[in-house]
Amino acid sequence: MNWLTLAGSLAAVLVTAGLVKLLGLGRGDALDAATACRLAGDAHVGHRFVAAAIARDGRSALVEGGAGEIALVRAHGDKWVTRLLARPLAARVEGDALIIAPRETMFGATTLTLGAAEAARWAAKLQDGADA
Amino acid sequence: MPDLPKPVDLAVPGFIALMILEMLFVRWRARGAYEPRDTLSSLLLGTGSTVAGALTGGLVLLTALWFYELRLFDVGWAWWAWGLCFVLDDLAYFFTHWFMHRVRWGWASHVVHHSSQHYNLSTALRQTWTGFFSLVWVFRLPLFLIGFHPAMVFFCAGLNLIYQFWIHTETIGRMPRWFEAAMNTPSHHRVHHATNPRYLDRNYAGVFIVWDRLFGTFEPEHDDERPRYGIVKNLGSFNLVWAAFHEWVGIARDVAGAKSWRERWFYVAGPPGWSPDGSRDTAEAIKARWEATRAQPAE
Repeated sequence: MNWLTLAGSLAAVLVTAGLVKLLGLGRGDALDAATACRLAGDAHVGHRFVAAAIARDGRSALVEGGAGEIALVRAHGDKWVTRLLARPLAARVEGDALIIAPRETMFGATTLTLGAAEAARWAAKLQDGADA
Repeated sequence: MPDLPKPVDLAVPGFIALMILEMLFVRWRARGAYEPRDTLSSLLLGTGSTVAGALTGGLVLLTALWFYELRLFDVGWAWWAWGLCFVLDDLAYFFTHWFMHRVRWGWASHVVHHSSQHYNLSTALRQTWTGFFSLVWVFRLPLFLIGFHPAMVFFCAGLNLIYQFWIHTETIGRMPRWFEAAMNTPSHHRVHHATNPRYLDRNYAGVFIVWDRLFGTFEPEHDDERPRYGIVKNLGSFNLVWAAFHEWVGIARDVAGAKSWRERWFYVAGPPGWSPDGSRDTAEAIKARWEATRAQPAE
């Protein structure tokens, strides 16, 4: 491999990925409660999630299982990632939004705009609750 | 050393053309999926893998030539030797692939290929940067000891890699029954990339699916269970360096915090997800939990 080949490869990579954007591919859908519960249940085998709080933009949600466990569902591109949240978890409320950051390298914080009351309710659950 | 062409280098324009065709098909028929950042990650990881391979290829070649000097037979360059080499190289790939999924040291290198939640032709090019370090190449060494020339083996390995490109797609349903019986296909390989408990750690084949049928690791794609692609704990990040190295970081952290040499060994050589107290999930544990869930009567 020489520098010219490498430069050509990088150019081809950028053009190809740019074409995906140009074609309008990869636009994600908004979550609903049933989908959020299903996604979390699929990812965490043996858990059954029954209730969900969906962020207003439809791109993240908190879901609660029958045994009191809580999972985060968050958009990743046009797909979803989920995490079972170990409690107590640092969670803070800013206006209408709940901000949580699972203790995990590179996962980052998630801001869920839930409304002030709902955000405060979930923050209390996450901060105070022992792991289910 | 015979100067054979490098099949993968020659195939690159074809890879790009087929990817563009697949994108247009996805746009037209809404079957399959692409996402710009995912595609960019996959292709840059592929480019990085080529660079890493170029940096370490000389050492692999030297080792291969050294083993070839100790060969048991002179297989030579007859037509049948090419066919036999291709088949045996595919068998070696099967065991390599098994190691890459069942042993964490191998998985740390291979996980990058599975870390996309998409399954399209760009996923095929999402390749490791740490293949040399993970020692997965040692599984081909017996071929040189038998007496296959390294140039022949590497040529066949290149053809094997090219074959595996086209099976990374959702745009093809199933091939004719006779083909599905013998060859690795998009359907079989979708199962391999899926995280559904039923599909975890199945279908390791490169070209010939008969190896999985023979060694008991075959699972067909079920029409009522659509594959969910990615890894058990999807990364949630498009960061290339994290994708390439996260499992190595995990191994380093676990080994540093281990309480005994037994723990250190299993953190490195045990199955991915192994932990001393069983608090993490191996594929076997997930499968067992899934089986238990299935056995429970519906509420």
